[in-house]
Amino acid sequence: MDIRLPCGVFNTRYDKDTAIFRTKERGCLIIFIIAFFICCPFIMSNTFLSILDLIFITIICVMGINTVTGYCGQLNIGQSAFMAVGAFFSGWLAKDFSLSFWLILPIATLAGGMVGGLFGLPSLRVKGLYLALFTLAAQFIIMWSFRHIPCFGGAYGLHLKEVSLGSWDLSGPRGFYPILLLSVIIAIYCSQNISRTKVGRAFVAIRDNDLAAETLGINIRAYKALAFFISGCFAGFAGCLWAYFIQFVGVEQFTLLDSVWYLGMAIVGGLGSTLGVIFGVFFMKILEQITVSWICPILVERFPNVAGETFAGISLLVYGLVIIMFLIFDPRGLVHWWNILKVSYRLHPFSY
Amino acid sequence: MMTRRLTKIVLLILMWLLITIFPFTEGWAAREILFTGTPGVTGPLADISVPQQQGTEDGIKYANEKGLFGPGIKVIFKWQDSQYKVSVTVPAFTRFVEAGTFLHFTYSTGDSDAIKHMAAKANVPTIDTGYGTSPHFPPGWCFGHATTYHETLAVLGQYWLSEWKKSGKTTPPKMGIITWDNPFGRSYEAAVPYLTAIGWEVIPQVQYCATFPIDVTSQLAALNKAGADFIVSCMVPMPWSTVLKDAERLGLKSNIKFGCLTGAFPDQVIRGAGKASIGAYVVLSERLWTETNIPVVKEVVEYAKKLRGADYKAGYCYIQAFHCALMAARATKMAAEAVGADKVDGKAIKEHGLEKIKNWDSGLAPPLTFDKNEREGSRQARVWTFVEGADPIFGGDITVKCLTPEWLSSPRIVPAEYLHLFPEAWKPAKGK
Repeated sequence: MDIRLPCGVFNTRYDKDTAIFRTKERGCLIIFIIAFFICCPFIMSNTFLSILDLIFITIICVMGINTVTGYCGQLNIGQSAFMAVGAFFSGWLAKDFSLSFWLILPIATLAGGMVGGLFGLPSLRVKGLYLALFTLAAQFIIMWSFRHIPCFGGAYGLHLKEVSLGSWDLSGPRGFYPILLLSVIIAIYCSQNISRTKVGRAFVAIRDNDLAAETLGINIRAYKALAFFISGCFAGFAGCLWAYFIQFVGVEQFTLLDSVWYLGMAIVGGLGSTLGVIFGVFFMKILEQITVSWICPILVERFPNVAGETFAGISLLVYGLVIIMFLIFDPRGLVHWWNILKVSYRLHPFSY
Repeated sequence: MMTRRLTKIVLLILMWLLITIFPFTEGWAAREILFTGTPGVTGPLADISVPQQQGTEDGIKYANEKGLFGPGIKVIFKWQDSQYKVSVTVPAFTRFVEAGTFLHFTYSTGDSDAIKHMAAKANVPTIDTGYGTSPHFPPGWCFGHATTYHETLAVLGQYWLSEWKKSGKTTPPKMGIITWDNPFGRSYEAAVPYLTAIGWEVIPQVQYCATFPIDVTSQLAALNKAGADFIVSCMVPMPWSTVLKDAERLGLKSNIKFGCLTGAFPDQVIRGAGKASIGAYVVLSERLWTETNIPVVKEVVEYAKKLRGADYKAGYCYIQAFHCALMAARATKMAAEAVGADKVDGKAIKEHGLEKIKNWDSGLAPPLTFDKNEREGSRQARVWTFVEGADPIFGGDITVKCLTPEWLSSPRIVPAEYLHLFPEAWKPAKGK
C-alpha cells in the first residue's frame, strides 16, 4: 500500500497506479496551480513575471539533469553547455536562415539532444567520476566551439528578433510568459511520463544496479545514450527559450558554474523526482531573489557605513550553505519534506 | 474535516503568495529621478566592480550636491548586485524599469549585451562603465563612456610602432596576444586589420588563458617561440598580473615588451604583480589618481576621502565610474534644458542629452562626442608605464608614469558589418 495515498484509495489496476491524477484532490490541486499560473500575467508585475520566466526556463533545463542523473544515475555537470547548444543553434538558424521561432524550437531541441547523446556516448564505457569528467570536458569543448565557429557570432554573440504570432508581440517578460508556461507544462508532463514508462523503469534499474539491469535484459548502452539524448533535448529546448527571452546569446551566459548550480538545484529539490526539480528550482531561485533583491539592499540602507559589497556577498554564502545543509541533513531533498507533510496530513490526528 | 483543512492550507498558500508578490510590485514612490545600476560586486569581476559601484554612487551624490543634473532635478541611485550573471541582471533590470528608472549603469560587456533589447523597449538608456565593443553595435540605447578596447589597442599599436621605428629597426614588429577567450578578452579583434595595415605582424596563434590563471608559462613560451617582440593582453588586472609575473620568472621581459588594454587598472596591477609590473605598459582612456595637478581629479580624490574616510584610496575604477556619473549628469541637464525638468525621462535623456553631447570634457577622460549612431564617445587614450618610485596616493615603491601627456587618437574602427553607418570609419585597403 502506498502510504502517500489518502486512506481508502486503492490502486486496483496497473494504469491507476501509474496515473498522473491519482486522486480527485490531486487533480484539483494541479488544475488550481495551472490556473494560478495562467492568471499570473494579470496580477503580477513584470519583475515577478521575469523571475517566473527564468524559473520556468531553469526548470526545463534541470528536468534534463533529473532524467540523466536522477532517473538514470549518470552524472552530468555539463548541462549549461547543452543548453548553449539550443541557444546558439536558435541564434544561428534565425540569423542565417531567417527561420521562425516556431520552427527553430523543435530543431534546437533536437540539436541539444543530438549533442547530448554524442557526449553521452562515453557513458557506454565509463561511469561515476570518470563520466562526470567527460561531461565537464563537454562543457569546455562545446563552449570553445561556439566561441570560434564564426556562424555562432564569436565574441559579439548573436542577437535575435522578438517572437510574434500574427500581430501578437510575444517578447518581454509578459509577452513571452504564455510560451514559457506552456513549455514548462509540456516539459513537466514529458518528464513525469518518462518515469511512468518502460524507458523510465529501465533508467531506474540502471541507476540502482546496472549489472542487475543487464541481467534482466535491459540494453544498458542504448538506455544510457537515450538518457543523455533526452537530457540534451530538455537543455536544447530550454536554451532556445532562453535565447528568445533574452534576445541575445553570448558565451558568457553558459558557464560551468551554472551547470553546477543546476545540479545543486536538482539535489536540493530531490534527485529522481519531477516534483523535486520544481521545488528545487523555485526554492533556489526565490532564495536568490530574496537575498539579492531584498535583504542586501535593506542591509545596505540600514548600515551605510558598511560597504555594500559586504552584504551582497551574503547571497553566495546562503546558496552554498543551503546545498551543504541539504547534502548533510536531507539528501532526499525538498520533495521528501513534501511527502512527509502529505503523509502527516493524511494520518492526522495520528502521529504514525 | 479534510475539506476544511484543505481550505485552510489553500488560504495559507494564498496569503504567503500575496506577501511574496507585494514587495515586488510596489516600487519606489520616487519624486526624484531614479538612476540604477547592476554592478557584479560578488562575481568574478568583483575586484573592479566594487570601486566602480562606489564611484558611481559618489559621483551621483557629488552631482546632486553641485546641482549638475540641472535645476529642480535630484537623482536617487539604487543598485543591485548582478553577480556577473545574466539570470540575475535581467530581473533586476526589469524591477528597476518598473520602479521608474530613467537611466541604468551596467558594469560588464555581458550584462550590457543582455539587457540591450530590454533597455530599448523600456526607453531606458544605459551607460556601460566597461569598454566592450559589442554593446554599441548596432547603435541603440547603450552608451560607452570612453575609448573601447580595440581602439585603445590601435593607440598602443601606434605608440609601440613609433618607438620601434625610432630605435632604428626596419623589420615589422611582431605582436603576440594573450587574452581571455570571451567577448571581453576578444574585444581587441576589430583592431587587428588596422594594426596589420600600419605595419605590424600580428602572430595568428592567439593564446588564451583561464579567467584567473595561476600559470601562463606555456602560452608565453609559445609566443616567445613565435618571435613576439610585443605581447598584448585584454584582461583585468589579476590575470594580467599572472602574465607579468610568469614573464619575469621566465626572463622574457628583457626582450619582449608587455602591454595591456584599458581594463588593466594600474593600482590593481601594482597590487597583483608587484615588481614584475615595472616596465610594462598600459593604455588608458581615463585620468589617473596620480594626476592631482588636474583640478577635477584632485576634487574627486578629496571628495572620495570626505565620503569614505581619510584612508580611502580612489583608484582607477573609482575615477572611471565617477566620470560615468558626471556623463549621466551632463545628459540629464541637457535633456532638462531641452524639454523641461518636469518632462525629463529616459527617452529625453537619450535623444536630447546623450546623443547631443559634443566634445564634452568631464576632466576625468578625453572629450566625448555622440550622435545618432556613435555610441563610443571617444577614441583617445594615453600610454603609461610602471616605474619604480613612491605612488602619491597608494604609497609603496611602484607607480605609473605617463609616456604620452597628450591624448593619442585612434581612427574610428568599427566591425565590417556596421561600416555603412560610419562613413568616416577606417576601412582596410581594397584587396586586403
